Amino acid sequence: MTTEIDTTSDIQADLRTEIAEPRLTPRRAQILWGYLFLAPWIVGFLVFIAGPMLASLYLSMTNYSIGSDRPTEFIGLDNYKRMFALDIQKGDEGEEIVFKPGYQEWTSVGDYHIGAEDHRFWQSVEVTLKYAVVALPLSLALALFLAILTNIRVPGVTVFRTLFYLPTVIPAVVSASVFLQFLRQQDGWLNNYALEPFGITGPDWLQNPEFAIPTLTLIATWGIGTTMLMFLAGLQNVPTELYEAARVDGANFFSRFWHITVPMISPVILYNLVIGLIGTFQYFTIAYALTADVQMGGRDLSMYFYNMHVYREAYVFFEMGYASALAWILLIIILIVTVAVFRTSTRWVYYAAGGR
Amino acid sequence: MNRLMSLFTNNPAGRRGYLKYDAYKYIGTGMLFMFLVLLATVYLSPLLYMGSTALKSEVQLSDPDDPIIPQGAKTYHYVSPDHESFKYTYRRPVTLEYNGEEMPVYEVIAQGQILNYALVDAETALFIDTGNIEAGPVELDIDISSLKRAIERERLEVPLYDVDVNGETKRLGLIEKYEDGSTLWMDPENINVEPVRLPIEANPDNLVRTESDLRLYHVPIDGETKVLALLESKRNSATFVDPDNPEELIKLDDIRVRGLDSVWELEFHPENFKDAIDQIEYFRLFRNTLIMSVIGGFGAMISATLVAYGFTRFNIPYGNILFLILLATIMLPPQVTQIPTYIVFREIGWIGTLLPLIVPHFFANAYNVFLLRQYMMGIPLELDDAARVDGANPLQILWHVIIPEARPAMVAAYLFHFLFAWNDFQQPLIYIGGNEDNQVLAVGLQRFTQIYSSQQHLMMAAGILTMLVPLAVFFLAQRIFMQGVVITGVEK
Repeated sequence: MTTEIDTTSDIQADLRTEIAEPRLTPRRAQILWGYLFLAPWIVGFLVFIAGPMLASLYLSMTNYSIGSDRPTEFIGLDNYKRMFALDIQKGDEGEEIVFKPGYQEWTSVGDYHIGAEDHRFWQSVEVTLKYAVVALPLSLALALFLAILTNIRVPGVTVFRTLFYLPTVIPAVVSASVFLQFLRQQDGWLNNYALEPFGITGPDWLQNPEFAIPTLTLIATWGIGTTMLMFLAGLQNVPTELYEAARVDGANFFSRFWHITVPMISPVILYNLVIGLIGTFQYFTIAYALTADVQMGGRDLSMYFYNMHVYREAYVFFEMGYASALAWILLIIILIVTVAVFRTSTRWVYYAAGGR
Repeated sequence: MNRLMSLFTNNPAGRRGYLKYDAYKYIGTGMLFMFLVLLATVYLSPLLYMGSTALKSEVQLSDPDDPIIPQGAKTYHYVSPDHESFKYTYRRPVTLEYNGEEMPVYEVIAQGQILNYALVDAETALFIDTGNIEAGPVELDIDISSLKRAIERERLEVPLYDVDVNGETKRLGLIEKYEDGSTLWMDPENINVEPVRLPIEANPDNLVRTESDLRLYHVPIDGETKVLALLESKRNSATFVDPDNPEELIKLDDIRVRGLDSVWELEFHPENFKDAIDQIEYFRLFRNTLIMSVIGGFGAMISATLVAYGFTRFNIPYGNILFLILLATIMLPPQVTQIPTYIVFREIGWIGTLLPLIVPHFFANAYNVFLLRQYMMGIPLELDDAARVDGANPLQILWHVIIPEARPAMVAAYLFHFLFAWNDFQQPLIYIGGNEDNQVLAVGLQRFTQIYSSQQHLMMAAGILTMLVPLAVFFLAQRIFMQGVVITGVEK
């Protein structure tokens, strides 16, 4: 009814009549009210998300820097070129490698030495991906393990759930400061009370670059509370009839887990995986707090994450143009990884009742 | 049922079978319970570390054998049987005993020589030559006041006393006791000052004795373990005092003190918290963090409620697309929008204030909107309709119908934001920058950790103070909180 009036009437005339005599049909009133309630988000989206995104896309093609005397110029894709520029040199052992001017060694593969114009960029990508590959699956596995344990009817099980969730509400800075001491080589509790009794000389968790990722993985187990709760909710949604049927068929615990539990909670696994990936690309606080006293990123930049590189360029050097380019590449990486995960998910995620 | 029946029959096999089944069940549950206890202890051991370290002193922490629970090495207050003395060269004025009286001896220069004459009578200036007493007193034409007393150097080991001088306790060395009950004292800290004669008697109770707090050890002696206090240790031997019999010293050869177990007693240092509060200026950081979290949480809750209400109760064109855009922003890394936002905040002078950490949260965040939308979809539309029939406008419906129903989800959204803001580090790091007046706890703690990395106890005390509020909030609102986590997560 209202649409008819809308389409047939001349917009100008319509506006005029509205100004002259407000004529709100219930449908229009509803739309108006609806947008009124959405206004906080719409305004916020335009002011804090869409606008800044466009601005940062533009900035990423300039050499804009706060507080610099250098005139700001539009430089096209130069920032992106600088980010990815590599120089590979073959060099035998003991031979001095000379890269192009301004390039620094990032890594070496066999006799090949890879220099980069921004070696910190490549280093941060490497560290972030390593962490994603090691820490994320382990955290998910531990979270699922704890969820399964606390899904069994044991006296005081809710207390255990709370205890396992507890470290999640602890500020990351506090966790970092605890682990800074807990993991000390000489008198840290881990080496002292957990490894020494078994005759293992504990490594230098915090200083040895080879242990950077294991150390951060260890600390990451302290933030799995939310993931655990998701798994727990997923487990509680699995119909018990399925287990009973399987038990009647003689399936043991492991085959029940593999053939019933995993498929039934696979949507939750997917969700946790995606959220975990996004979180990994924004990983900052723990690594920063662990390494800020010497150099951000730790020894040999072994804890130098992508987000730290953005932070360093933007808020330490105020290279806003280059930092924006880094941020956009981060967005693109996240999009690619997420899309890839969703693509593969059709093969392993099982949606009961045809999916949602 | 058969199993149950077999309990009451005399069939031993059936009965055993039932018990076996039962026992398995209980053993299984018990073992699982024990396993969970163990796992939780290991998992939370960093918290245990935190709590215990925060209550230790620097001395306790530097002890290589420092136990887990804050304990100090137990000591024995040892008072040595010998008193302390002081080596002192006393310049004793020489006297001569003549006719049963003590005469002061003076140095008199006569015939180019220094001779010692004792003064017999001052008025008549009658002297006696100490080298030739038989010669008898002689009268010397000399000004007595210009004469110097003859001095005899005497090396003494003077016992030290704690002496009360004019209401002040001083540590003095006793040189001489006189017959009239007065005593002569020297000050070991000022040996050039003339000794002082005081009208007091020396009290043996005030003798200075070596007192020290000796550390107690479990010492194995002749197959027995005794608790002894360590007085002195050398490379391979040690001298101990038995607290039950302090007179006798026990010297043991062939013992290595480092291998002995100390006797520990509980010793807590809650003053660490006060020190930490003073050093990180806790109350200022706390106030800023509270302002940021409380106001920001309020903004996040109100705006998310409005927007969720808009999404669930109004059939607006492109509503679904808008909702998808909203959800997509979850994936957006904040770095992409942060840099231009930072530049703008800098231009309008907000950097260094709390505003960038509060104001943006008044514009609805995707997680909270999603949480509230999921909850509001469960509120029956009939309630709205009933209110609308009564003539309520959408605002009144929101206020009188939706908000009372959606309160748990609103509280959850508030708490989520509160905790997020309280624990957030990167945003305050960027936006507050170096303005310490507006600094928040997370950044303040990190700076403190960086500067005082050697003072573990203060770091841990400060850490506990930082996480106190999030933990309290979590424990008080646990159920609302955990339900909220699940709603935002799984329903997606």
